[in-house]
Amino acid sequence: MMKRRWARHFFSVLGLVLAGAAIAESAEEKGLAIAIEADLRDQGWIDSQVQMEMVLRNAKGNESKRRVRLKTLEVSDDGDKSLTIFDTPADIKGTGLLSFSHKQGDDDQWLYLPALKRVKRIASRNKSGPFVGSEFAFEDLSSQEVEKYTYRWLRDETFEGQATFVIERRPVDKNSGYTRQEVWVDQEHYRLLKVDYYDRKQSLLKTLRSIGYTQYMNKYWRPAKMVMLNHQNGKSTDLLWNEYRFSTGLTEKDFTRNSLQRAR
Amino acid sequence: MRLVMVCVAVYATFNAPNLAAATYWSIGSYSDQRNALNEAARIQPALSSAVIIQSPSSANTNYRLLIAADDPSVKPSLERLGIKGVWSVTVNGDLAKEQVFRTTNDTATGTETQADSAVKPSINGSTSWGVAGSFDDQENAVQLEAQLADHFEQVSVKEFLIDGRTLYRVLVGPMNDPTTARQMQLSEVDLSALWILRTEVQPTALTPIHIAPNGQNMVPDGRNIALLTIGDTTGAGTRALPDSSRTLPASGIKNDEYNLARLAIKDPPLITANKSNGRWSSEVGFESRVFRDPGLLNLERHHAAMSFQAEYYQTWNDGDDIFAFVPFARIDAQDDERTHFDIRELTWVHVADNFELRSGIRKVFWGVTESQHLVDIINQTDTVENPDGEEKLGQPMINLSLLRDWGVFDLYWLIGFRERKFSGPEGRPAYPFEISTDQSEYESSAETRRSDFAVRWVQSIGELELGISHFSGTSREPRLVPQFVLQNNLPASVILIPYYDVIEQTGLDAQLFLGDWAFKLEAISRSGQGNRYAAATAGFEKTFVGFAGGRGDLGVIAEYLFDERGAEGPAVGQDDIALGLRYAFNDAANTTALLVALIDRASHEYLTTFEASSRLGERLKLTVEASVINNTRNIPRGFLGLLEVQADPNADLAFLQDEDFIKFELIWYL
Repeated sequence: MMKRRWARHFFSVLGLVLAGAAIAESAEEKGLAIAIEADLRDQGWIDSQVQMEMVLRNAKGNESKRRVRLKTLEVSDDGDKSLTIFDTPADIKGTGLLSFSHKQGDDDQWLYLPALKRVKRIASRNKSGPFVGSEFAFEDLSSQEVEKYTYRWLRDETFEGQATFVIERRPVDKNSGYTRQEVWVDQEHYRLLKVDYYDRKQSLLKTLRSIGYTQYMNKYWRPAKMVMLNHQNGKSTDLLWNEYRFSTGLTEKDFTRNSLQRAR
Repeated sequence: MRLVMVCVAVYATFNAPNLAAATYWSIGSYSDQRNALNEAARIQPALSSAVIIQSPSSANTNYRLLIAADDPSVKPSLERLGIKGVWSVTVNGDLAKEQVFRTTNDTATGTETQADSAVKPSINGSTSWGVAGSFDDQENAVQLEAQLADHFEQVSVKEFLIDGRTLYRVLVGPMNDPTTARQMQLSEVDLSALWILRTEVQPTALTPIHIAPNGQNMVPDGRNIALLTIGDTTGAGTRALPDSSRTLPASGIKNDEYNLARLAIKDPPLITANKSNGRWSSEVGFESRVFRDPGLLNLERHHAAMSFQAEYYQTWNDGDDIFAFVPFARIDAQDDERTHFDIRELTWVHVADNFELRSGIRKVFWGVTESQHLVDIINQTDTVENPDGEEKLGQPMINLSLLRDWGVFDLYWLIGFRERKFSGPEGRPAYPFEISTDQSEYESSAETRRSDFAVRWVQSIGELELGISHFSGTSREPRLVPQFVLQNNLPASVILIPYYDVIEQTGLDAQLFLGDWAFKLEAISRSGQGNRYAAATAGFEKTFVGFAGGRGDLGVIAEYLFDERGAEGPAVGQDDIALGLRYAFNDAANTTALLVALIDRASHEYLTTFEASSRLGERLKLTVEASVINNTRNIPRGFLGLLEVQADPNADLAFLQDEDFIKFELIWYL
């Protein structure tokens, strides 16, 4: 991977030497710069708590809902830590998912099953699997670290009245369910407006739209609604975000095996 | 007294070495040249290499700040300045036409450098305050302070000198202080407008702070990467422009040119709503079991039962104290022994910084393997509820759980002992002999009043989960001692008397993840029931994510069960192999299925179990369980046949030969 990236750098540099340009900002560099900038703009919130409702919709339009509470701790040198607690449906009430995401390698995940009082470490290579039956895969919801992808700027485009960068990102992890993603990032605030996901066969699998961005703490933008549409099976999942709160005083101790067991 | 550093920007021509391709760190990118200049002025004094401002070109539309990457001290210096988001840029040709930025300052002092080094420090090393409002008018700030003082213990008004203008900020915190953090969680104040001021300087030093003009000259800028960094300069913060959309706080605050307060006291948010009020939830289960054959003691093939479980849950002290009560009742149409009531949980948990104290009736699970749970020992098994051993009776205890860097260490004082329940003569599946729990015997003279003790350490080390435990007390598993029942001085039948030894059991459980493979081990060494012996379960589960191109995950399970006692040991687990398939459909109804075959290597008997569950709508769940015995020797019915089973080492499971069943259970969540 590293070698290929260097090779790409080399050829882009070579190309520019031939063109006689003094400074090179290749499409890869520009894509990476956009990703880094988006990441930098989202640093410093320390922790967050939010409620989320998932609405799963099949091709016939039948709905099924889940309500979860999500706590997240910003980790400066690695991926974030998160604790997800299910409130509904009733049969999984109190089920908890503790996740330590990492910039490189597999995330660590523990599941708590309240009926058995059992904390179960789960195989987190399962990135591409559906999250609780929804159209969101585990990897779509885990903390989005710059290091998880390689980037390429494709074009600038006006998307729904906003100037956007369209960048392509390719997952570094070979266990990802995707070969590549196309991401629309608005040029003013670096928010992800739309993502197209391409599956391992290179065909368009899903589209994510993030709607109703609100700024919190004068800094951080969060969508009120995310809609994931699966083009191949016609199903969709909405995530409705409520009651965002930041810097609420959570610490590492709120993200342990013990806190997973008591979160109901 | 801090001095305002005056930075004078000097442009010079940089005679760059004529290298073919040099590598630079790109440390900022701006569409507005003034921002680039300001940032360069801020960081240059702390750096030994020159900061270069690269002008826009055809390939790059921004003013970029570059610094030669060949100096190894650059990156640590940048990090001290809080600039972490650097990436390398390869520049082809020379930078002769680029502008090099140098600074001179006439009153530069160490204090300012100190302030600069506090820019965006690490989360742990810094102190954060919440800025609730910024005002030109000190009276406004004091008003807001008074309002917030009802909600937070630590509120203060500090004076800031920004751009030569005095500003009064209302600070909450420090936020790293646990009391403040707690109050923020509990508060009825909408904190979404609060922004965080992060600094290494102590609060006393904040009055007044004279801010270098660097950050404040920032112009709103679409490409301003460094705005965040600069905004966090000590005392400066991101200065948002006065905004007419901001709502004024509830009362007492006059309109103010620099009024950045937007706090509104409002109804408690949802999270606080379910915090202090207790919640009840409950479920009712309807169960039907169908046996293939009439049983030995009970000929009835259809068994029906109902269950009821409720849960009351309440937290207070912002979740640091938790109370839970879970009563359970079962009514079985046939078996009086199975008609029972149990308190699964009646517990108070107190959470402190480094420990949890859990008192009351509780359930605890230890272990990792699927086919049997050797290490798990705290709770008595509720065998009447389910013969598979997964259901447990509540255990009274006091459990101190210590949270340390080196793992979680649990100490258990288990107060009193709970006897194992067995199906009565009317129940199924049943042991072929009557088990007389009324005559249970104990090694300990304290019998069921004995206190037992246990300790456990558990830690995750990378991909390895490791647990070591020790239990000292009355065995949860009785030995069943046969006793003849005499009629006219002749043995007429046999009953079994449970005998509970006092044991010492040390357990190890480990699970290692290697990609899709999970390797599992549970091992125990037990003394007190005859000679000391060892037993273990070891195996793996391999997961195929998205099996056969579908949504579902297939798990293949293989485990080996070993018991040193061999034929003297339990019917299941002395030299057995468990093979299983697990399939999670990953559908909206959360459908899962598990098929496990347990193969007794000595007797060649098979016990196959199947369980599946799926949600129906939002409030119903259906589970199906089945259990089938194969390949048992056909043993004659009646008393003599039973004796033959007992005597035959190759008929471990034969006593279950007539107990094949399928069970349907519908759970309704009220």
